[in-house]
Amino acid sequence: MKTGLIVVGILVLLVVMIGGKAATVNNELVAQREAVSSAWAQVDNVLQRRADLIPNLVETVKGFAAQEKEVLGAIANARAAMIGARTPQEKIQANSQFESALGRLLVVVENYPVLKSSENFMRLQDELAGTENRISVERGRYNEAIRQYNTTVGRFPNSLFAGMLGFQRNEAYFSAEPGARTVPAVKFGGNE
Amino acid sequence: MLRSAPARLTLLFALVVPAWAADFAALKPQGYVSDYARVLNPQARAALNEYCARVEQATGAQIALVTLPSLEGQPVEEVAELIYRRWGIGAKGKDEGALVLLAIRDRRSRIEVGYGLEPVIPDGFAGGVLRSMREALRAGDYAAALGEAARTIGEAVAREKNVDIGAAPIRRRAPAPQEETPWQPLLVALGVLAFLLLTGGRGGGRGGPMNLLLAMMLGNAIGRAGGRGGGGFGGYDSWGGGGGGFGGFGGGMSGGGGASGSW
Repeated sequence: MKTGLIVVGILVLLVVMIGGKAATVNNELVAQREAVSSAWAQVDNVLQRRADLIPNLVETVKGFAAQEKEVLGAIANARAAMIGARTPQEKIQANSQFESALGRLLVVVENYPVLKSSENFMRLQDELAGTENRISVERGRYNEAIRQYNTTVGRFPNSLFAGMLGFQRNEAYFSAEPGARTVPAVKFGGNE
Repeated sequence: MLRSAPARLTLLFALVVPAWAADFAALKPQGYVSDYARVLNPQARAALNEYCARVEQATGAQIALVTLPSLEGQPVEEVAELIYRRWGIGAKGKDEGALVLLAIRDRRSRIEVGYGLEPVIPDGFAGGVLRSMREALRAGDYAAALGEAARTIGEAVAREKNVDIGAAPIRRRAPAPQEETPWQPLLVALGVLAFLLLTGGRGGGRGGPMNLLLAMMLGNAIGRAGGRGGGGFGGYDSWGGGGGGFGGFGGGMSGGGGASGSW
């Protein structure tokens, strides 16, 4: 009788503990999933910022190098793909297309010293480089948020609850293109 | 064994004066101006500090001026972002801050702009500031270059906020109170501990699982109490003389905005 009561007491305690633990895990995962989406919102923001910058850049380049139709066309296409992309995966893919088009544009620009040294273009290049840097920073923070979330989901004993509570691993890492970081090298006209 | 006095002295020196290491994350602000490269004389430092204090007083925005001897092979953008994040320049949530970084040996410069100042200091503007610093930098006049940067940034912010930097008197800001001790979990932990001590004696073997549970709760509470303090790297340490009103940076964030240059 007495032992029975103790056993029941311990069982009740166990249930309370497990329930409490599940609630804790749930709250932690909700918070981290939110952190991932807010980090993605920031990435999205800076990707949009770059897309907004492009028409201006293209106009400026056109003023000096209208004959570079192929590169300018590639940029316009990449921008359209970027704007059309909806999910993080689509955007990450559109981004790499964008990066290669921009890289080509900046190579072409090297052939136009007057364009390169115009203050307008220098500022645009600052904006572009700044945007690239923002993308790289926000991308890093986004990946870190996902990594933390995945660690929490996969860590024992959380892994026992995570599936039940509807939390899956998130594999939408935003990996940097090799060399992406160096694409918009800011070169100040002939001074280096 | 190091027997000779010079050898011992050298060892002592090596221990006392830390060599320049590439651990940018461990750098602590020395005021608004942090001259790790030692390229500024005390007067210039004081003047720059005073100007930045005035800017903060008038506009609420914080400017950090940093010189590094070298980037140790890292991109200037990453170093600037790291320092910005660790120091938290600008008030938390408002993020109105700017970091001007000079890497002397690499001849690289960067202005990293906090989220809050991005509309006031667009990247093209920051790049323009860096280009206008170039002449002074090439002449080795780092104080003039930093002064130019601080003034241009300060004036842009003042214009945006419709205030006058020159008119603001310098008040020494009282250091912010230390982060509050998280009493609540500690009290819970103490209560549980007291309960354990009071009940632990009797009960004998039957207390076992109960004690285990309580110990877990206790550990949890203590763990939470310990973890609480970690968040706020605000740098509100007691910075004494020479700061010119510097009361620590406020926990602001940047997102990689700004511009980089070279000279």
